[in-house]
Amino acid sequence: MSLYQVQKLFFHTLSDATLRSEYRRSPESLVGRYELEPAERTAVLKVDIRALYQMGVDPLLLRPFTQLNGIAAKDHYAALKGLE
Amino acid sequence: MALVFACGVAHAPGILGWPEAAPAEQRERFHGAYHRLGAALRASRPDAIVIFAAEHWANFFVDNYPAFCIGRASRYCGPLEESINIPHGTVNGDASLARQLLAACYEHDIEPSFSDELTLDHGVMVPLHFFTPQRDVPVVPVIVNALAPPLPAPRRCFNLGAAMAEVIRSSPKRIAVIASGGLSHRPGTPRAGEIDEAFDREFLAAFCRADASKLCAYTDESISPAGFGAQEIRNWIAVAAVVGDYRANVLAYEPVTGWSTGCALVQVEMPGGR
Repeated sequence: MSLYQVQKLFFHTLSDATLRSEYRRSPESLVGRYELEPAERTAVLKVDIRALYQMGVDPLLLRPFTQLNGIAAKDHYAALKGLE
Repeated sequence: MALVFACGVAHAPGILGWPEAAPAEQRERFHGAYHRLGAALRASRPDAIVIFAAEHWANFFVDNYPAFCIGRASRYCGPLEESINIPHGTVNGDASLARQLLAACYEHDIEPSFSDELTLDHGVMVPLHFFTPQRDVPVVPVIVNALAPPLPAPRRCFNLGAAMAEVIRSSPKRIAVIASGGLSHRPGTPRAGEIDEAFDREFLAAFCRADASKLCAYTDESISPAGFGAQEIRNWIAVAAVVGDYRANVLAYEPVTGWSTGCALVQVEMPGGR
């Protein structure tokens, strides 16, 4: 697990306008710069909210990241249903 | 005495970003109180605003996360977020006051980090939207880590405010002090929307009677049942120490499920026409 790298990717994407633009242009290109495990890479690229939350991504990185990807609040929370 | 105004406020991004998530009556009550508090701040004619706020992954990551950070820039950019319905722009900083506050902390055996470049997120920008919509009063952001454990103990946050108190109270400038954050909330999680009203009201009662011993007795563990976001009460505890002996009044308390936050607005009484 490289939660640190996943969260660093989210932090950079959300806090740096240049990297945010790059993410919007080509998620694969930006994600490729981080040392992610295959499952993490898949979860990030698919914006698999449930998997990312279960990996331990901080909620205040995860929700802004799902917002960045145009995911409505109700869908974000529906994906987390039943989790602690 | 140069402390002319003090308050504690909610900064939930939904307040402006998705206001319609709150029932109209509740939203109007809260927005109305926030606007009235803003008018009161402007009526105090502050030369500078010192705002104790959390930041939410806007500037710091866990490669190097400070317990406290004082912004000492002469200009800031914000908000970071595109989703909170606040235009992106600049906010002037009071670099001179920031340096005085930083020096005072060092003299009192607290060594905050400092930064000449901070991006302001909703923690600062939501209050400023209501308080200084023209962005015409320079700010000193004081960032308190309420996000990435280990967090500074609430008593240390009180000490941080106490270290700054003399500089603020004796400044030739008219200074407003704002605590931003809390109260109970756990946004982004499966339990978002759960609000611990009992925790919030107990905290507000302690803050309003300036109960330093009660405020300093809070711990991570006693706060965490109210949600990770409740750790932001540290900002209020710091402000309590800046002001010292006071009474304060709750202008609004609304547990807003749609904003996932127990939202409070509290104004400190300024005795003696301060």
